Amino acid sequence: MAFLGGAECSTAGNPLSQFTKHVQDDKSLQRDRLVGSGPTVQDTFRTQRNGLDQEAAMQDFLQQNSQVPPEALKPFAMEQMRRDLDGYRMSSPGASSPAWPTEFDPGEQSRLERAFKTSKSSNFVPRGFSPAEFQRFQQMERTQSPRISSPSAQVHGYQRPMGMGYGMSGMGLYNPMPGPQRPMESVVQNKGKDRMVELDDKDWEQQFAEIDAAGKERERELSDEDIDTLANAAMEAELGDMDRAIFNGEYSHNFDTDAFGNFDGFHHHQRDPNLGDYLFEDSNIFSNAKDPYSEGTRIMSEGGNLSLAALAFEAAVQKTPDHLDAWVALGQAQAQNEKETPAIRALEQALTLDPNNLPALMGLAISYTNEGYEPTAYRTLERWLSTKYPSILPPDQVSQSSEMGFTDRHLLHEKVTSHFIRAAQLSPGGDTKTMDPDVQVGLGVLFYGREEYSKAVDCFSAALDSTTEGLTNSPPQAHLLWNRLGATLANSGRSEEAIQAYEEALRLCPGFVRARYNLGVSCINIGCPQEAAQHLLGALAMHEVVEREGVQRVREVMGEDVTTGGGGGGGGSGVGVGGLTEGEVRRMARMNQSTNLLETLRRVFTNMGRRDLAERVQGGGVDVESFRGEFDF
Amino acid sequence: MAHARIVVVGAGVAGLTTALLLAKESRYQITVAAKHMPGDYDIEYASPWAGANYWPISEAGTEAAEWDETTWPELEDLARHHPEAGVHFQETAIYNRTKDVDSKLGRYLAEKLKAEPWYKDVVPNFRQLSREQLGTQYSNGHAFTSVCINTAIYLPWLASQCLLKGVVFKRANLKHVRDAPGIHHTGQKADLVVNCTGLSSLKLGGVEDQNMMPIRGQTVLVRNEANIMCSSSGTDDGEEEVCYLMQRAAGGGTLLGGSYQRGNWDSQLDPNLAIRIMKRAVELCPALTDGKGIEHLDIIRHGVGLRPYRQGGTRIEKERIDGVWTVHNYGHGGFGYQASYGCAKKAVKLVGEVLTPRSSL
Repeated sequence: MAFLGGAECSTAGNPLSQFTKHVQDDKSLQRDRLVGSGPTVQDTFRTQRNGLDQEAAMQDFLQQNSQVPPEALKPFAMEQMRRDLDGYRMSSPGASSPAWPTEFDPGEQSRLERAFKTSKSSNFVPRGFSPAEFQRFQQMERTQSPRISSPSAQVHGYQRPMGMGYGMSGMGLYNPMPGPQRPMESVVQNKGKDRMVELDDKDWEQQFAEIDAAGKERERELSDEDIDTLANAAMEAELGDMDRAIFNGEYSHNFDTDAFGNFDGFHHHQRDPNLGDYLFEDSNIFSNAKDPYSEGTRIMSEGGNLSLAALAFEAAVQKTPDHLDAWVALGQAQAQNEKETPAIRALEQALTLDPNNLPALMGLAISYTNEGYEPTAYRTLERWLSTKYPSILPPDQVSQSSEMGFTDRHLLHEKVTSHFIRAAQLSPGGDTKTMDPDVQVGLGVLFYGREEYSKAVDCFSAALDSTTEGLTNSPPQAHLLWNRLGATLANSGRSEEAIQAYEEALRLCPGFVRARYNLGVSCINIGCPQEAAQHLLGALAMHEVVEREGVQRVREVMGEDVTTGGGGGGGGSGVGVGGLTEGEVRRMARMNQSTNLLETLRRVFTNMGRRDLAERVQGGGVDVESFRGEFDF
Repeated sequence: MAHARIVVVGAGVAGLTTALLLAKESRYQITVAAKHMPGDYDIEYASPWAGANYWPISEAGTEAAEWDETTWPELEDLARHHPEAGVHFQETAIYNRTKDVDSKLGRYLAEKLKAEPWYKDVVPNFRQLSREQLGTQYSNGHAFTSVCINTAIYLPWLASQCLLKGVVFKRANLKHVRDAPGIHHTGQKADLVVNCTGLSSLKLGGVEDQNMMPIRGQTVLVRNEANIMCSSSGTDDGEEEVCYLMQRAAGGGTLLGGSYQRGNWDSQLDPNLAIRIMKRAVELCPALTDGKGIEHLDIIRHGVGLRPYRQGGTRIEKERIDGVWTVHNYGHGGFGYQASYGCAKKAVKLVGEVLTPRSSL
C-alpha cells in the first residue's frame, strides 16, 4: 500500500462550503449530547456559546449537582461554581454580575435572583455542644445545601470542641498545585460573565424550573447568526486572556493557613480521619475515685488490664478536662488495647491542649498509619520532628497542607524522611546506639508507610537496641518496639519471625492486647485459623475482664466495703461497685469496641467456613465466653 | 481470603475492566455505580469517544510500560477468539518526523517516536518502514499488527461480561467518595470503593485531584474504509494537531483524528479543525477516498472526547478517605484501552491488600 501516493488534497470549492456540506448536515455531536438529557439549563447556556470558550467549557464539564465542599476548591471554585446550579454566592468583591443576561434580557437577572434565595447558616458550634448534640447537628449539616464559603464558618463533618468554632480546622487548607493548565481566577474575574447562585435543597426543583424557563426564553430570542457573531467576538477576547492565564498558572487565592490553624496546632484537611470527639463509657468504676490518673498509670506500669487503665484515664479527664497527660495516657492505653479510633480521638484531644506534645504526635503518627491515613501520618511526623529538632526544621517551615496536593503523598514522604535522616545523623558518628530511639521509630514508621519493610526493620531494631542500653528516659517501651518490629516483619511476609517478636512483646507485657491481635493476624497468614481465632478471642476476653478486675481494684482503691452479686460476671441483682449497679458494672467498656479485633475474628470464621460463628460476632461486641467450648483461650 | 462488598465508581474502560477482573473472584460482591454507562455519549464520559487501539506511548522501563505490556495478550486473545468483543487485528504503520521529537507532543508520544520502541518484542510482525515507504516527509517509521477496538461494541461487551459474573450496575451521580459505600446493591455498606472516575476525579469529593486535565481530541467517524491504521508524529498545522486513522471492528467505521489539546475543555465541535483532520487523513491515506478529496468522505458523525490525563501519571493506589478505603485507578490520558488490563490488575492487587487483615504497628 502506498500511503504517500502524493495525492493532493482535493481543494475543489471553498473549504467553508465543504464544511457546510459536511458538518451542517450533521449535528449529531450536539444531538447526542442533547438526546436523553432533555433540554436542560446546561444546554441552553451552551447554545449561546460556540467555539473555544474555555472557561465556560470547563464549567460546563464541571457543572454538576455536586456537593463538593467549597473550601476545597476555592481557587478554581469560581469557575466550577459559576454556572453550577448548586453553586455558591461569592461574597468576594470583584465578582461582577454577568453581562450577557442583562444584554439579552434585562429582566433576566432579577428573575434569576428571585429564583434563588441565599441560605445562610452559621456553622459555629459553640463549646457548649456535647458530642451527642454535635452529632445531631452534623447530621443536619450533611443534608443541607452547600453554604457560603467564608473563612470564618465552615464545617466539614469535623467535630472538635474548640472555642473558635469548628469551621477553621474543617476548612480545606487546600490549594491546587500550581501548574495545571486551566483558566484561572483572574480570567474568571475578568469575564464576570456568570454568577454564582445558591440553591436551597428544598426549593431546588422549583428554582431549577425557573432558571430553565428563563434559559429557554433566552434561547428563543436569539437567532443562529446572533449567536455566531457574539461567540466569535467572545472567542477573540477569551483566547487572549485564556492563553495568558493558562500559561501563567496564576492563582490569586492563597489560603491564609495561619489564620485557621494554630489553636490546635494541627492543620486538618478533609483527608484527615476526622474521627470526632472521644466517646466515654457510660459507667466507670473510677468515676468517684480520688486520683484516677495515678491509678491508671499504676495499672499500666504493672502491665495490668488496659481496658481498666483506660477507664481510669477516662475518669481522670472527665474530672479534669485539661489534664494533658491523662489524655495522652488514655490514647496510649487505647492504642495498646487495639482500639485505634478512641486512641486517635484521645491523642487529638491532647493536641488541642498542647499542639506540640511529642508522645501524642508520635502516637498519632502510628495510629494514622495503621488506619491508612499515611499523608496525615507524615505531616504529624514532620511536626514531631520540628518540635523536637527545631534546628533541623524550624516550626515555620512545617508543610502546610495547602502546599501539597494530597494526591502526591510521595513528595511529602520524601521531604519528611530527609528531615528524619538528618536528625538521625546528629548522633555522633552516626552511632545507632546513641541515636534518639524516637527518631528511629519515626523513620521506621516512614519506611513502613512506603512498604520499605527491611529498612523499617532496621530502624525498629536499632530503637530496641538503644532502649535496652537504657537511653530512653520514658518508661520501658520495649514491648511496644517488639510489637512494631513484629508488625513490620509480618507485613513483609516474615510471619514466623513476626510471631516470635509478638511473643517477646507479650512476655514483657501479657496484657498487651495489640500484640495478641497481631499474633492472630499472623496466624491467619500462615494458615492457622484455629489458632488465630484463639488469640483473637483471648484478646477480646481481656476487654471483658474489666468487671472482675474492676471490682477487685475498686476495693483496693476506694477501700469500700462493697458487695456484688457474686463477683464479676455473676448473675442476680446484687449491689454493684462504686455506686454502680451490677448490670452497669458488667456493661462497662462496651462503648469503645475494637473494630479490628471484631472484624478480623469475623473474617477468620468466614474463611474457616463457619458462618454460624461469624454471625455471632457483631460490630457491637461479642459474647466471648460463649466460644470457650470450641476454642481454647 | 476475604469476602467483600465493593463499589466501583465509573463505567468507562477503566471501571469496567477493573470490575470484570474483580468479578472473577467469586467472593467479591460488586456494584458498578456510574453517572454514565455504555451506550451513553457525553463529554464527561471519555471512553466511547476513543479510537481505540494499541499504540503504546509509555516509556521503556516504566510501570506504565508494564501495564501496556500486560494488556497486549488480553487484547490479542479477544481479537483472536472473541469476535463478540468488537476487537480485531489491524495492520498499523507509524510515521515519525525528526522535528517532532522535541515538541511537547513529541515528548508525550515519546516511545512511539523511537526507531526501536520497547513494544517491538511484544507485538507481532514488527518491522521498520523502508525509505521508500516513508517518503521524504518522514524520518523513521515502523509497522506491526495491532488491534483496533470498536468502543461501541467493546464497552457494552465488558458490561455484559460483568453481568454474567453477577456484577450489578447502578446509575449514580456521586458527589463524594464517602457516599459510595452506601449504594452497594446489597443494601449493606461496601467495604471498599474503587475510583475510576477519570477526569471527574478532579471534582469528586474526597479526591479532587488537581493534577487532572483534559487533552481534547476531536475526531471524524466515516464510513469509508482504510483497512489500515496509521499515524503521523505531528503535523504542520500546529503542535496540538495530529493525524491518525483507524478502522474499527465490526463495521464500526473509520475514525479520523485528531488533536491533543491540553487543558482544553471545549465539548463543541471545531469545524475548521474537522476539515483539517479530514484533509490530513486523506493525504496520509488516499485510499480512503480513492485518491479523491474530503467531500468524498461519508461522515457518520464528529466526535469530541476529553482524554483524562493526569500530570504525574496514572494514579493507582490505595487510600483511606474519610474512613472509606479507596483504591484509585484513574488518569489514563489517551491510553486507557491499551493499558486497561495492566492497570486493572494492579488495582485488583491493591484491593486484595486492603481487604487482608493488617498488623497494627
